[in-house]
Amino acid sequence: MQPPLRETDVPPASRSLSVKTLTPLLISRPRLARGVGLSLSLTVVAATGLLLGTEGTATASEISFNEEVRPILSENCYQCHGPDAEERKADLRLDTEVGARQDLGGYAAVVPGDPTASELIARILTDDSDEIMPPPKAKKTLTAEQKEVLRRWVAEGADYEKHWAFEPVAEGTPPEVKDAPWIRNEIDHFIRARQEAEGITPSPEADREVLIRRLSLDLVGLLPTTEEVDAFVTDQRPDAYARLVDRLLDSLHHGERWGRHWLDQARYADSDGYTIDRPRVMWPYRDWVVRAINSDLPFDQFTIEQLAGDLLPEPKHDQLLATGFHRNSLINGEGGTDNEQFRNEAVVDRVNTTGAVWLGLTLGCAQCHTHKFDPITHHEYFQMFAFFNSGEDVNNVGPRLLTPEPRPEDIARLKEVDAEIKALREESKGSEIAKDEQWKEEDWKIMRPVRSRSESGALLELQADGSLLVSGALEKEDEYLLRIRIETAEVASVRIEAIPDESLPQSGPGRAANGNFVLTEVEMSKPDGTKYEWLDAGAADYSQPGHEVSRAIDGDPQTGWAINTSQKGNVARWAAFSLAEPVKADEQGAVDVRLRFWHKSRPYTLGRFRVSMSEKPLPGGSPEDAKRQKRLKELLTEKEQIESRGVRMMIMRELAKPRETHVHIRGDFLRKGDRVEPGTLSILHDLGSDSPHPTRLDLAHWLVDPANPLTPRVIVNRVWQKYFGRGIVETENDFGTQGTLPTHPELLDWLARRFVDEGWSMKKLHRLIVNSATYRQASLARPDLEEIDPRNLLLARQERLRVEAEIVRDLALSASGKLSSKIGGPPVYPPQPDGVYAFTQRKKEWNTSQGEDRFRRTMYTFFYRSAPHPMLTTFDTPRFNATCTKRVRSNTPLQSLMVANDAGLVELAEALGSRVTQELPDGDDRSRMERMFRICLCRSPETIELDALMEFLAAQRGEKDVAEADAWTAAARVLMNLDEFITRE
Amino acid sequence: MNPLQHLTRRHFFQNCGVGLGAVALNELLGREGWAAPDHPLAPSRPHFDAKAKNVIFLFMAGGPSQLELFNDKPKLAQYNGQAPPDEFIKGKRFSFLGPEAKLLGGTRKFGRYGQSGATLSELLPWHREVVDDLCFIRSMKTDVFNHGPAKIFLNTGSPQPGRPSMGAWTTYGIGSEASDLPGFVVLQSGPRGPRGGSSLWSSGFLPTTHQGVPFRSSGDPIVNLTSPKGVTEGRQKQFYDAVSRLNRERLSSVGDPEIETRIAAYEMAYRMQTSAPELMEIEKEPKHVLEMYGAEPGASSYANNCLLARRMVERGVRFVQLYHTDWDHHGGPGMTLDKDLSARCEEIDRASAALVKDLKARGMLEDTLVVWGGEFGRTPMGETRENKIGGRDHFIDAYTMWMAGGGVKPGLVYGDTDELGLSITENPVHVHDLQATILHLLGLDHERLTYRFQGRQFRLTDVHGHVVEDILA
Repeated sequence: MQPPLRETDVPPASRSLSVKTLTPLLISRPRLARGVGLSLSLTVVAATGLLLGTEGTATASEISFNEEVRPILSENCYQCHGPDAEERKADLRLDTEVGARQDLGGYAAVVPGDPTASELIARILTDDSDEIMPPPKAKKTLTAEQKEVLRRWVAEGADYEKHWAFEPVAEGTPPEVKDAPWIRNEIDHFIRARQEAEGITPSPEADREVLIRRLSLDLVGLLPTTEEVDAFVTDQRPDAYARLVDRLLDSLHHGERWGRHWLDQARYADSDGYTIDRPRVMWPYRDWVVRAINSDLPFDQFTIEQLAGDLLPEPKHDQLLATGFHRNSLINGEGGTDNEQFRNEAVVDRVNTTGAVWLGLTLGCAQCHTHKFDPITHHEYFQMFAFFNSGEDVNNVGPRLLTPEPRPEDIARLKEVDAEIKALREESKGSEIAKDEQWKEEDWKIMRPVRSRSESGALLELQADGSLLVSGALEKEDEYLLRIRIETAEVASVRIEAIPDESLPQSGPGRAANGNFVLTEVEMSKPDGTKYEWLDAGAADYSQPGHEVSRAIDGDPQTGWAINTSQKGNVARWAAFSLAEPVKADEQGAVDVRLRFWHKSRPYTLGRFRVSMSEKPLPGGSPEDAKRQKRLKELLTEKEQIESRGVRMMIMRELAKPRETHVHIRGDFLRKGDRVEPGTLSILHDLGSDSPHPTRLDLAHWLVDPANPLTPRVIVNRVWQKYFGRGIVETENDFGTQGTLPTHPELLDWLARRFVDEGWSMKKLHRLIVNSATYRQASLARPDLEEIDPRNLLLARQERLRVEAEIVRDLALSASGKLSSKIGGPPVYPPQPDGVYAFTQRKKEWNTSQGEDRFRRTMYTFFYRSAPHPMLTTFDTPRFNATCTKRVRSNTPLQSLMVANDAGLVELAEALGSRVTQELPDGDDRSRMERMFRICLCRSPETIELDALMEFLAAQRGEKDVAEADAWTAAARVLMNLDEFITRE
Repeated sequence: MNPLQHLTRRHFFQNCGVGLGAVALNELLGREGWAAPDHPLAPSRPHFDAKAKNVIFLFMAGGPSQLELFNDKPKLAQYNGQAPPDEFIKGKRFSFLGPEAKLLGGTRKFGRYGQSGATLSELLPWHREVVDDLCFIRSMKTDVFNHGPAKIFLNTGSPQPGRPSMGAWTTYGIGSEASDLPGFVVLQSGPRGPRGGSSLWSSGFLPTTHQGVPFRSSGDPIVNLTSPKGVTEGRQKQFYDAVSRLNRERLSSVGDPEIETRIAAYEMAYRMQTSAPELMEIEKEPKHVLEMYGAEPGASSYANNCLLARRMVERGVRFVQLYHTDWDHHGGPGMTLDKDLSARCEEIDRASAALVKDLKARGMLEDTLVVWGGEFGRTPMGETRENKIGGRDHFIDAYTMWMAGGGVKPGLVYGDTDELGLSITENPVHVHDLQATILHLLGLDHERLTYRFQGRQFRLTDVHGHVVEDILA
């Protein structure tokens, strides 16, 4: 349902008066929004104080809570008298009817129908600076008009209404219009009816040249060829336009164009972010998005697969790839970070992104406290948080998927290889080498970890001898994580010494009652989580039978190395392991060593231990040992080869045992408050899951539940925004009480309902919008509307929109004829100016692509969050540290310098120049120039324009040392630098 | 003239003037560009009378050690090698230090200088000459202890990337007086860029026009400032003229004021192509000036950058930020408190002092605020690397910065710490307070300089910050 729409609210009288109230600022009384839809941003309305006209007309009808009162209360009062109980002053809340009317001790803030008895009114009208609300220190003041609105609202009964966006989507029918011939589809009914009510006329349809360029830019982001333009301009069939739309929607480039919009929201990038900003492999996810859009995967399914593809029954490879959506969060690879902190930050990012992308809500505001303006409590925030809190990934370590899916024969072979590796390691178990014979102590370098941590919270204290002594928490499952700075030139082997200590049971070295331990797994990895392979079986000075040292590197968490203290004594022991390939210190400054302990019944962890590393591999043993080692190396190489046919991409995976979630007091993850279970927002529909532990999959279903009023509205609004430069709700990421009201609420609901009814098909939505007469209008300025509608809220013309950064270059690529039409694959490195990395902490590799990859669409350009390609940042591509639901569109001299001088773009201008010469070998200058103009702008030049270009060509030719080709390159540069070239008309 | 050309955004401003809502402003400013006089970088009136017109922020990236440079702590040397008091360590988080860390006494010689009697170590001899122009804040504290987040925090008020930086807020608040240079410029020296990268000078959700523009200190200062290879100045002029002519033609037929903005942007681009190289020509400075800074034309150094900063401020650039990196003295190779810290100090001492001296001599110090400091300080405990105690860890509870000029009391030592430098004992200044104070000096109320984004008003100081009235002149 819409905000209650009573016929009587919009008396015919007010319609006829509305034009008058529009002058001089086009700001009609916002209450009209309900009936005929015009509303400006609330802030404009509130700030300009135009709520009530100067004439008596405005007082003729009732004040609307949603459109007039709430904006005032929300902006000025809710901060202290709103949903947040912690910040609430005087125990008064004005965001609910009950709160406003409650007895405050003989009086009430709001007494319906009686402004003089209402404390709220008294306090906003008083002159007493101690009494006045809002208080001076809030630095907010109410205008006389706003005070009058509140007074009248109270006088009229002080009715509250639910915020419009939380109401169900209304079932409306398109309104009747007088101007029937103009109408092309239902959208136009809504738009035209509104214009008719305001007494304005739409713009004529744009020229065909404009239409084909507009459609091509909007639907595929590339220029149409001159042949395509000619064909469309001369196509006499009545459905020529609709055919063009269909052709473009079927183009595989459509998936790139609209996939890129989605990737903005997915904050997709090719690097980790923060200061280290390592490259990462996420492009298979990017390609999944492009494929999904091309195949018109219904948006509900699109949602479910991205948020919870891993939780679907027997997920397909593609459904796992889709979960890359939430692995696009940042990873901090800096030394000395607390991984738990950054794990929490990633979860917060996932909650906020989900809230913004699907719900259009600023959930993030409830991270530290109950939302100041919207009915979202601090508790609810952490219920949402709980859905995302049990992912396996912890900052730089997490599940990855080998993609593309290995071929069946590879899978089979991998199985064999793994089995043989295991068998070989098994065979070599317990190879024991006497310390004094084979080892020299000076071969080992003791490594003092720069950071150490126990998963269970046990204390690891560094001792003078470089060992770590463990105390405190004792859990049967534990993992010690040690960050080690490599202090030798390279590392070929690693040794773990178990050392007795008086503080341990039976003097240790383990923490089990008998001083034993079971080391189930030893792993070494790069700080980004990439694991190193061990060679062979390892060695130890002693292994307990059944607990051979090889079992500490067999990948099986059920087995491990132990030392039988009961019979062999509580003495020092050691185990050592060789790496398949030595690690060079100049390539890898620090590594992580993980020691895992797991025993079914009781804790068997290490109590005191020390890590050393050596540049020498473990000495070989018998000829059998050598043979085995050789074979093992071969197998490991083969395994790597098979796997290198694909890449490993980060995906989501759930821990077997979910983490507990607590409210973070003031948003600080170290300050744990009440425990919460996964749950959704009480202001919206029920989660509809019976499970005591709902999952991300339940959340995904909830988001696309037909009962959800937000998702479809938010999505259609965001699509609309791309076509008209502004959403029906201008604050596309805030549908809460602080957001702007929809300019055309009935249209928004009609579109949302239609979208769901038509099976969440994005292509049908696109088709509907671009086929409307509203979309097809000319974008020329309308001086006649300058006074009435300077911001074009009523859409009596199309908007001229400067295209996004990627499209600026894509247009140059398509004009040059150099564009590669290849879709997907690893990111590429088109030319970029020198010195881009002068300001980044780590120097990055940028091996400029040659051949086809130099000319790929710009969305494939490698994206380093800390230093994206300057083309992108200059034209407002954000860094994707967080979700982006709307691109800024600035217009700066740095952009001018970029297009004018950038070597990569000049290269394309050069190509365009020679292209025209080649295509018209016999053409004269004028016809060549005209063709170049048509390639770039898809229309024929006016004489005056062509003359200007010809004069320029002549002037360039007249300069010293200018070759013929140079003059044409220069002309192409001029065309590519025109405002029109980078504008969707 | 085509009547459509009358349709400018200026009209909208004139008519809607005061009280224009932020959402609408966002839309307008975001697209407005540089069309004088409406353009967002045109100088505009502050909230109240400004003391400072410009800011030069000397950012010592990595966290310089206050205990080796500014704070003489004899007690720390006395307790060298002992464990710090328990109540101090409890609940604290460090990036690399374990609980076994022991106090590390300073080894540098300190003296008292100037009328203020401020302490300076032997590492900063040139600072002695300007000590009475400086205001030392010895009670700085911050919230985050990793480099990237801490730098982002100091610049934007939030530890996560994505918010506008101080320079961006400044030009958003009061524009810039430079007509042919950006309003917010960033310079860099040292072996690598600062951690946190471009988030440090980001415009966040403010229009991109407010983003800091990195200038390289030698060669082409801005990416794409030079005409394409082989294109002479004359040909480039023809190019700009042709673009402008055709854009005007288009403007007259479609009437979109955005085209006017683009024309202005191209005109500015052309002016930048000529004026920015002139700015970089420090060889034109008199020899004694070059000597005073220790600047060498053609080099890429902190000294050159200090001199460039002065030249930029002279040309109206509002906010100049210099990053000098590699102050992260944990101990270990290249990170020691002896050799490596000395080298860093040598690189910055003379030029920092020269900048203050030079600005003062030119009468520019009065309205130019100079700020010197890093994202945090270093621990009173030593850090062991390679089995040697040669450094200190990141420390967020008490460290030192200095300010000069621009309405700050000269010759003041503000705030203090306990005998071991572990905790602030008087007048704490949180990063948000510093931000509030810098804005205040520029005539901006940090609580009123807001921008609506994602449903709420954002500001540089989040919901915190107090102007440090005590240090205002």
